[in-house]
Amino acid sequence: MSSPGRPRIHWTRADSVLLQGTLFLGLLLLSLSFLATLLWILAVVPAGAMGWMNEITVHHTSEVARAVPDVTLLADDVGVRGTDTLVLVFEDPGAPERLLLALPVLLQQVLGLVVVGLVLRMLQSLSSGDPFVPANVRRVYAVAFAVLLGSLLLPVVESVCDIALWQDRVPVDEVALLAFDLGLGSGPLTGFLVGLLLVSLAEVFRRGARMREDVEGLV
Amino acid sequence: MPPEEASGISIHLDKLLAERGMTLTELADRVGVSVVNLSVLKNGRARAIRFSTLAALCRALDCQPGDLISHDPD
Repeated sequence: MSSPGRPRIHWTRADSVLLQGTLFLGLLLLSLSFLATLLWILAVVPAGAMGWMNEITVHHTSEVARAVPDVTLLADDVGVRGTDTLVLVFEDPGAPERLLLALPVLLQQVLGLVVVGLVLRMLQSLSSGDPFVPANVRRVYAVAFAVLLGSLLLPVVESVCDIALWQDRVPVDEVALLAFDLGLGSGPLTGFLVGLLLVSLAEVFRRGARMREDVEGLV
Repeated sequence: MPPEEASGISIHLDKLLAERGMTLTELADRVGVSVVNLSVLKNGRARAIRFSTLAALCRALDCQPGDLISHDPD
């Protein structure tokens, strides 16, 4: 029984259209950025044309002095210290360097395309009236595993590519080999937790679809 | 769940309707189940039947569940 004060969620046709439109737009933008990345790897686009693509961020080891930014402080009760990161900018990367620089981005875009495409297909089945079908169970699981895989694989690929890029350019003893952000705001831990959440939802969806199959043909 | 072809359950709704001179639409009205669902039941395509539906059918057709459903293991 629903109490009068409880808010009700209604999924309308307008919601479906709005979400499908947003996802189509996302799919289009992702496809364009994927194409742009491929063109950048093939050196059709200049190295600096795609912003951060020709840059990598490396972390100092604690032994290296951090440069303090030149800033005028208006109060005495605060201090300033430099960050432990430095950005290497590749002015004219060759083909292997372009590939190493773009590989993590490319992987991210591929996973993004897979996830958005699958969600779009699920949403289309929602409009057809019967979303609890085995095909959608596979899609929810695929989305969950894509997110899990991305959260684990992306930092590894990024680190390996970064190491291959800086090892001949920066003294090895002055730079941290691996650096992960384990905060919940971003980084692999967030992706992993979202992946686990999606796996749980996928299992709920699988059981729902099985129950739906059970009541099919019930009179 | 065993496959429905192998269940050996037969529904004798058409025979009971003919004996009582009743149409499927009239039965649907009395029982409160849609004609489509009753048709599914009559043609042996149903995979399960609710006790409430069975009771309503027995009441409307003045019969016992055994008159409506039989099981042939072969």
